[in-house]
Amino acid sequence: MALKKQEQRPVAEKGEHIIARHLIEDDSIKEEKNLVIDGVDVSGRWNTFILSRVDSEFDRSFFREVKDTVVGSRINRCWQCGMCTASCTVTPLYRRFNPRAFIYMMQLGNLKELKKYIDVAWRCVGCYKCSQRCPKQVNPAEMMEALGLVIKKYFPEEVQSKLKVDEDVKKIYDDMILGHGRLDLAKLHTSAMQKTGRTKELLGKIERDAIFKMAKDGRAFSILRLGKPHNWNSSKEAMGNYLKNLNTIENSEA
Amino acid sequence: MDKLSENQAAYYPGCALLTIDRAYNNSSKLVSKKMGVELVEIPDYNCCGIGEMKSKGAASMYMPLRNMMLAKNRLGSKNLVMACSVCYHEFRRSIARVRENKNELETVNAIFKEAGEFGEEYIPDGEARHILEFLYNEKGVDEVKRNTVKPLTGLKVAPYYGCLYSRPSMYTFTDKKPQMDNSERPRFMHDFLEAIGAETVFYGNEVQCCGGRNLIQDEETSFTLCSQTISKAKKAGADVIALICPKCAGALDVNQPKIVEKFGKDSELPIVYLTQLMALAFGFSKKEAEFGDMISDPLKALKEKGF
Amino acid sequence: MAENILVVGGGPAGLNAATMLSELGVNVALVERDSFIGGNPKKFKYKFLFPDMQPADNVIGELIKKTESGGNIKVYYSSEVSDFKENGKKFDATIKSAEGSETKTFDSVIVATGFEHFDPARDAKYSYQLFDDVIDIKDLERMMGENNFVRPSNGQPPKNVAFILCVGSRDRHVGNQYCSRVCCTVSVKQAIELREHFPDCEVYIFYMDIRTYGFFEDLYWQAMEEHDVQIVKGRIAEITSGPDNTVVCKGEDTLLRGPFEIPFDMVVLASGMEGGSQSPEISKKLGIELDEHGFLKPENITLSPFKSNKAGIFLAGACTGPKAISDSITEGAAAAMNAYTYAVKNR
Ligand SMILES: Cc1cc2nc3c(=O)[nH]c(=O)nc-3n(C[C@H](O)[C@H](O)[C@H](O)COP(=O)(O)OP(=O)(O)OC[C@H]3O[C@@H](n4cnc5c(N)ncnc54)[C@H](O)[C@@H]3O)c2cc1C
Ligand code: SF4
Ligand code: SF4
Ligand code: SF4
Repeated sequence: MALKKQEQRPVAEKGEHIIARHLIEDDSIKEEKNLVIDGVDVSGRWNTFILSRVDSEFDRSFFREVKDTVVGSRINRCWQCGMCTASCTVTPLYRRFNPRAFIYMMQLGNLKELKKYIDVAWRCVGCYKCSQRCPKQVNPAEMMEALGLVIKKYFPEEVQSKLKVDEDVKKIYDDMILGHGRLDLAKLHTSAMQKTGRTKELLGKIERDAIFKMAKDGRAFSILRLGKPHNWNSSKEAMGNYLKNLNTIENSEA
Repeated sequence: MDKLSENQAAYYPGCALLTIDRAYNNSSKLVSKKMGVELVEIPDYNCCGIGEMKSKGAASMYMPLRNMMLAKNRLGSKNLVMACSVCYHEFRRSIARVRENKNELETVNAIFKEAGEFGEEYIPDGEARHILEFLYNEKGVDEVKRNTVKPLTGLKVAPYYGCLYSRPSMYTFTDKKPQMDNSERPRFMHDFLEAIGAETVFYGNEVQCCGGRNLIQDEETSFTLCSQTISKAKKAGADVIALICPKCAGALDVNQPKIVEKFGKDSELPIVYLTQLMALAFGFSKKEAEFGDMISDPLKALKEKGF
Repeated sequence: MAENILVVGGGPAGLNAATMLSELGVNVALVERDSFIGGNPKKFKYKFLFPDMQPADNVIGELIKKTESGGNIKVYYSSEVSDFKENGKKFDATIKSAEGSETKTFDSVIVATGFEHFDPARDAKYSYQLFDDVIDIKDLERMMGENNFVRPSNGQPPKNVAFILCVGSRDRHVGNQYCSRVCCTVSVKQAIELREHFPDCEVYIFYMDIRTYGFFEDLYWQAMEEHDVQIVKGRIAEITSGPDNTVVCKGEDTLLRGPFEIPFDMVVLASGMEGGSQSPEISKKLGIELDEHGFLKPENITLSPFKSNKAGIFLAGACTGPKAISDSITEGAAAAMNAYTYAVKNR
């Protein structure tokens, strides 16, 4: 039974009344702004619930899921030595990007922790320095791909809100690579700019100069030469069927 | 299709080299020919996947391997030469994986079967070869020296190998010949550059990454990495940076005006392909080597140096 | 008539085997490829030995003295077994040295060909040989042995030193998956020596695990508790040159979760032990098995670690895997006993 609007108490910020609030992470506070139970208004602080700050389980189902993929098949090898992070091209630029820690979180199924890094988790540039040096040949570079799959499956909302650009670009790639069998770089560039709302930049001097140059030396039109592999459709279909029938998280339709 | 003769090699151009990076494509062909091997494009090639397919299981291996099939099926060649380091990596990754993992080989073959394009199974008995490694092993430094008619004396070059030509060794190395470049400190490009009379500089970023993969989503990272590489090379006294990968060119050359805009003149330096410099030393004109295609204007630098 | 036994390799294991057999009245032929005996400890001039920091001379010098004065031992310096054949239950071996070739029949054979240090230059990321101030534990042993304990680049005492563990060990990508067992203990021992030598010099150890097994742990505790050696958890990915003639270690502090690039005056690589080229060579020559790690393979690693797969040929010391001197000496004795028994049985 809902209360009428004017009968509701003013609502405070989530967890505002908690003493030493700064010690508790936002995600660990469960508090419904408006909640009525059996006619009693328990909105806000009256229903506050603080999750335990101590991890209380290791979730191995998660580990399995990663292990079953091509890119994540060696997750069981990692012993947390840190060689990958130490080698990483990206870590010095984004300290929170830490392949070793991400792999560890996946091993233990610590989604709660992983969630905090969704905004940086995709920054791997695929340079394979980590894989070159990893003493166990875990292939951390490809483990970062597995991380992407995991995030996509478990945090679809965050992916939509935080990684939209990344997802859009992936889609453009997919359409070209799988769809046409060849990649038109110029088109990739322009459609990506459009998708990411940077159409205006295309008209800037630098872009214009480049386009003009390539039009002049003929390269702009060599795109026409790119063509499409004869018979590509049979490959496209076979790969499509393979992907559709996968029962791993690599199945993009799942 | 005719099978290849002894002086020919099956060649995979890849999408970049057929379009924007034709300078690399054409100079690779010129140089190879001069050194006694003609690069013959496989018909009907498809994109290697450029790393964007990796999380799609065995489909990521099917993409490159279909081209290995084409080489064998249409040109009778087990091996396939390519100049793009990204393609090279995708090929070697796929071959290494299916060699090690029977399941993955079977899965890939199931896709081949369903596609029904080739009447045979794929057997991982051929190698993907990077043009640099290929010329180094098959023709050698002496052959480069022998063909050098206009040595690039006085030109200081910063060799830039980038990531995927030499890394990771679990993909680039095989127990079989040929001899592969050192993964941490590659040398083959140094040797070639020195053979054509140029001077190589040590600047510390030889195997650094250009960040090209995320260029679209994250140009900030790429620009930062490229700016570090260019400014280090410049500080070490380089006149130009030499590349062996079109992706690196996308990051270091095509985007250089933007990088300079952001990081200043320290990040300005002409970018060329190794094979363009070799072509020049082998007596081809600057026009034939298509230096004019580069955005970072190597023509000016070459002129100043008297070439 | 006395027994004839061939001992190949004059390190701690081989020397102890030879002297014990000699005491039993056996005629021992000791084949050593170097121009001196004493093995790796002698070659690299180890000065003080773990676990108790006793002078190496107490051990190695003692063994050499016993060997040279033991009446029944003939030492062939700079020599090799050039030909080897089974002869019933015995063995015909040709020993080639500067003095020429000699073929003899032996009742049994002890192989004690030891190990070789992993060459850190093989793992280019550590920049060994590129920078003077990047050395490894065997170089440091030698420097200490020669009382020449300074920065190679400028002859000055170092202000800070980093040890990097597991170089060339526990690393699939260099091909050695095993733990070399001694390098942790050698490193903490050397860290202590460094701190004693240069009290102003800070010493750090970058580790993934510290494996000072058994009582060797005492040294590890000592290094921290009495000498303020600092440990940092994380493997080092790269060594580059830094400002003011330093070398920079690039790594991740896995406990703090973050990358670091820290300049040091000197870096010491704890390079591990390998079977070397001698192991496959001797395996081929004598027809005994090699294991998947590149060392010689005992018949039964637990029941008879000192026996090869071939009756009459016995193994001792680091040729079957990384180990400390005490273990090598113990195995030398065990192999001697077994070689003697075999010889007597087949007299
Ligand atoms: C840096 C370092 C420091 C160490 N410090 C200590 C320490 O303080 N305390 C400790 O207990 N242990 C220490 N060790 C371990 C110790 O060095 C070994 O346990 C010991 O040397 C093994 O003895 P060995 O006789 O089996 O082999 P080695 O010492 O390797 O001797 C083998 C001998 O065989 C010879 N040989 C090899 N092949 C042939 C052949 N084909 N023909 C003829 N001769 C051949 C070699 O020339 C050599 O003389 C250290 C190890 C290292 C790497
Ligand atoms: S380098 Fe390899 S083993 Fe070490 S933490 Fe990274 S993935 Fe794990
Ligand atoms: S491949 Fe990705 S995770 Fe690995 S070192 Fe490069 S950027 Fe870092
Ligand atoms: S003894 Fe220590 S340093 Fe040596 S391999 Fe084992 S863990 Fe690594």
